Amino acid sequence: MSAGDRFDREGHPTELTIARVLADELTLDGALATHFESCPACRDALDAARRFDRERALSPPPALRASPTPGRGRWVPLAIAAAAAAVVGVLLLRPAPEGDGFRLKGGLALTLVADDGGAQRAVDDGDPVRAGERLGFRVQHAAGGHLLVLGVDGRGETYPCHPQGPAPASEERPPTPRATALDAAVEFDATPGAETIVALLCDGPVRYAEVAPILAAARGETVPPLRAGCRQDAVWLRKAAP
Amino acid sequence: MPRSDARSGRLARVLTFRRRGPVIDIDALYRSHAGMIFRRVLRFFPDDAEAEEVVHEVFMRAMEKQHTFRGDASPSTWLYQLATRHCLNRLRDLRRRRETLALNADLPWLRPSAARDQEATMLLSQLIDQLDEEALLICTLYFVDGMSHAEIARVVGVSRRTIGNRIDDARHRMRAAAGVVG
Repeated sequence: MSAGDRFDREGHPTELTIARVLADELTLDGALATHFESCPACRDALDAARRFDRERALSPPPALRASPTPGRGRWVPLAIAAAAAAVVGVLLLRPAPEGDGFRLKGGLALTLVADDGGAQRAVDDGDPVRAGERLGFRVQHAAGGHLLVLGVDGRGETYPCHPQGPAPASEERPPTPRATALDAAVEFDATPGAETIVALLCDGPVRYAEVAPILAAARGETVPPLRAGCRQDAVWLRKAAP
Repeated sequence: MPRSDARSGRLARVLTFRRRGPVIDIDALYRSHAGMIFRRVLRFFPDDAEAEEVVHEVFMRAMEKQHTFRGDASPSTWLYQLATRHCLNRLRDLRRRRETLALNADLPWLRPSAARDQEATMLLSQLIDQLDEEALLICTLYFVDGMSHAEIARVVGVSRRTIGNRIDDARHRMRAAAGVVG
């Protein structure tokens, strides 16, 4: 896509462009940023749209609320089944092939790589993993911040994924615009069930002990924001019986 | 939690790409994009209650049409064309073209462009009865939204040449019908 097709024929950002900026699908930089800086009318339009989105909460249609949703929601009931992961040391993962996942500029994206000791494969929501497999983590975030990755099993037991150690706390990281492997991994134990892995990127330090109880309490439901003001991404996996 | 941060976190999971193709989490999509669609719908249906009903219809339509989502498109672009198409169809179905059609131009997130709004309303009210669904969508994006051929091509998923042909055809129709458009 060229920069030109973000502007209307009079040279101003279109209504769709403004929508995409607010949805974090377009980064407000380059020609767009320059335009908004120099055009009060467009700046007002952007602010008004942002204000409207913030203030006008719509309730979903009943049919949408009742409908099964593909992706993450499909696996939520599996969290009732017990699953456990034991944290095992540090493992340097080989770079995995880039997936074709949808990722947003300015946000946080977590991708997972399962390693059965021989081959590595990318795993996403609902994908099966096996006991004994190691799970590696790749993150992508346009802005720098303090990163913490943690998991929870079907019994509600949480575990730190990255960083690890006796009193885990977030790691300060620079902007990481390309998916990058973290130097940590967990190894699954034999209990079948669901595993949820959550990545958190905050402006300031965050301790594992602060947010782990919130994740533990959310077992079986959509993961709530673990900490106000942080970006968050999560992946659900199914662990098959050995 | 600031809404923008929460939205970013959810959006990253709106789409999951699997071997069988993209799967859309409509529920997450609704949470992240309902406001945007509401704004779009209000352009065509100024009444709040009616607009909210149309927003719901658009997302139900999104559920039905999720197989049409192209992996290289953005969710906003896909929903934008879906919403616009739905609004135009609804206008047609309700036969409101028989009434005085007035696009809602007095919305704070629209940059004032009175001349274009007036022309757009006139064109839309006449074209809505003459063009097929795709041509009407293209003309709306061109005359109402002022989009470039390139952006319309991206939104609709057809070539720029097709866009140009459709707009030229609409202009010819208008000249023939009323001699209004130059």
